[in-house]
Amino acid sequence: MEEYRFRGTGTVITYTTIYSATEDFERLTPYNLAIIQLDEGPKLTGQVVCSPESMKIGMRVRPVFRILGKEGERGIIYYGTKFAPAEDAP
Amino acid sequence: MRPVSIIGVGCTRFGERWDSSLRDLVVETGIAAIEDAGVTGEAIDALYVGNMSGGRFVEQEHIGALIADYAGLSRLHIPSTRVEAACASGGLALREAFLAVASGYADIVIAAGVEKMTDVSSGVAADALAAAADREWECFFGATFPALYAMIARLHMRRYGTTREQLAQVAVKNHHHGHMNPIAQYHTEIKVEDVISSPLVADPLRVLDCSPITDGAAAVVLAPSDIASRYCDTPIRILASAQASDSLALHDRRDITTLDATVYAAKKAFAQARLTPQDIDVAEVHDCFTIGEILAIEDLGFFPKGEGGKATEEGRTSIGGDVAVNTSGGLKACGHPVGATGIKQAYEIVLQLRGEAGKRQVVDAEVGLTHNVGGSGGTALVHILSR
Repeated sequence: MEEYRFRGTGTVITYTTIYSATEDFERLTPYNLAIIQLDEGPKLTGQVVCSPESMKIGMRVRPVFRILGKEGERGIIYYGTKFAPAEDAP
Repeated sequence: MRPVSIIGVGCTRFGERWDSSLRDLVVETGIAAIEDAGVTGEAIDALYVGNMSGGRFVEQEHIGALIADYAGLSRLHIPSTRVEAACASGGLALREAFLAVASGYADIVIAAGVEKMTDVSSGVAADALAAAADREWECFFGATFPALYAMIARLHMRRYGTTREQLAQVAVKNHHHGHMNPIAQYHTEIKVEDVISSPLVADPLRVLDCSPITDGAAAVVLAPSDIASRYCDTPIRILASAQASDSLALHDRRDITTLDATVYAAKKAFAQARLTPQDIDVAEVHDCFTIGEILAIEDLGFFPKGEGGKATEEGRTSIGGDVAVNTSGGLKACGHPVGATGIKQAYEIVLQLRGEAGKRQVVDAEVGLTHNVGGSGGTALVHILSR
């Protein structure tokens, strides 16, 4: 096993905009969720931070560091990767 | 392996059953199935119950012993096992019961399914259901179940030209079938315009593309075919029982618009039964969302890949069409108490094959199929039943 760091850039395979979410994500609605194929090949699921109207199958995205969730007002904050449009990403 | 038949069935009314607890629902359906089969408690060798999330929905686990207890069987000390495969828990309970009888290990076995979902808020229910997806790689990033199926739908529309109206037609048909089913949650007919103007849940899926939150339970009684006629005038044979798995996360699948678990389970089932998809007269398939039924009728082999929407629009899956799909109203209109659904599907097919399906009866139905999916396709079960 060898650790490998992905560049994080990729292409949207399919997507949705979520209007009704679980309690943890309700404050974000509407938000975009996509299946993204990373340039190295593997696919994953992640949010894309842009307006619902600008989402397209085949659009290029790049990774952005964001808050993913919180355990209440005083609890632990989870950070992780979301994606942003990157038409100029190589 | 020896042949197995269904000798008795029962099902509660589906819906918001605020008058009944989880255990009340199981007792109601268990008594109905045992009376229908005409068996005594002493004759029962084992119980299997499908339940996805009693712990989250009603804070009750240990459902196996609970249902044996409340069925009045605790003094008989019959082995009772809960099985879980998310929304395919019921189908898996049927398969475990089938294997127990087919192997010769047990004679009379009950397969039940139950879910009591309306005691929690819709947000809590959505999160409990989301546990069927990959918590670390999907839900953690904000995925919901409608969202996963919406992403399948969008790609299916792009690749195969499936239209928004064709998706809606699945719901319209299933409400039409469901309004003829006395146990269904909804008895209202709807139009394509109602579906495509209902509020968005996860674009392109709207409220009327989604199966509801439901309370309900169902049970079937199995016996070796060679003694089935002692209990029942019209035993229904289980010609095939097949199960397949796939990656939990949708993004790891070979093809996002095909449920390979369905494809593999169906191939195995048709080989066991020595039948083809064209031999099926009536089928209960997993339409948790409208796109789910389109995938099912393609992946089971009823129609070529990409033509499920067109076939639905042309009425080929309605009662009177090539294959009557979801005569109960499906998950969409009959309701979807997740652990009970796989057993309710068998209940409906047994009624159809006995000729007891009332206004929604498929004329001369001889061979039926049930198709139950867990999650977004991590598990699939296919059973083929015959008169």
